[in-house]
Amino acid sequence: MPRVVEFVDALEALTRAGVPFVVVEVGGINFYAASPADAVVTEDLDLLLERSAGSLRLALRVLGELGFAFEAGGEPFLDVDDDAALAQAVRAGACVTARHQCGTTLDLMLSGTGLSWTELAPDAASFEIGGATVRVGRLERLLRAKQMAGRPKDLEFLRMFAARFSDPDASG
Amino acid sequence: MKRLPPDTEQLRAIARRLEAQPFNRPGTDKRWVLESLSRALAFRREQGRARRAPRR
Repeated sequence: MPRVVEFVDALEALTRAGVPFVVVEVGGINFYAASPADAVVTEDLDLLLERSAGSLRLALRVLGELGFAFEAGGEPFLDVDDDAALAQAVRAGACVTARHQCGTTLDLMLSGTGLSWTELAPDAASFEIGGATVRVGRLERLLRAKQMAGRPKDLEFLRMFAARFSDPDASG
Repeated sequence: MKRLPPDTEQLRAIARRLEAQPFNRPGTDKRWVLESLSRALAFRREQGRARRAPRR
């Protein structure tokens, strides 16, 4: 089992295994940056999964093989092969956090404010990450979701984002 | 005075302009996005360890 698993390793593995996901939240918005100077550091990467037990099971299996441990609602999520537990997580629209001992953390989201799989997946942008193609929510949708979430940190992010990119000359 | 959050139209205009940039064409290699995030977080972790180190 690898001692260090970077974001790129995890996303490549999920993509290769055919896990249906779209990168969302700040991690997704960062994909539209021109350079690292325009990207915002976030503690974890948020992935919106297709809302099904099969998608969740496959994602957990792939990440489990890479050495990730899981939690949901602040509790360890150990029932990675339990159909009833997976179905319950899907029904609840849970967020399962996948954390590697090296610090790499992914949030596997089954729902989120303004984040609907049926809206985000069909027109998601495709970007390469070396050997794999990842799908990232359209920037307009990701910004709109933050607006709808409306938490202080979301609004502060949007203020900063607009201040940085309102000037057309500042977009690259 | 604190600025108001941007409105939907303003965000939409920014999003469209950024999505139309050459560096955001479908298929563009964006591996650097993930690598730079990993580097930034590793740096933060090291900073945290350095702060926690006992004084001599």
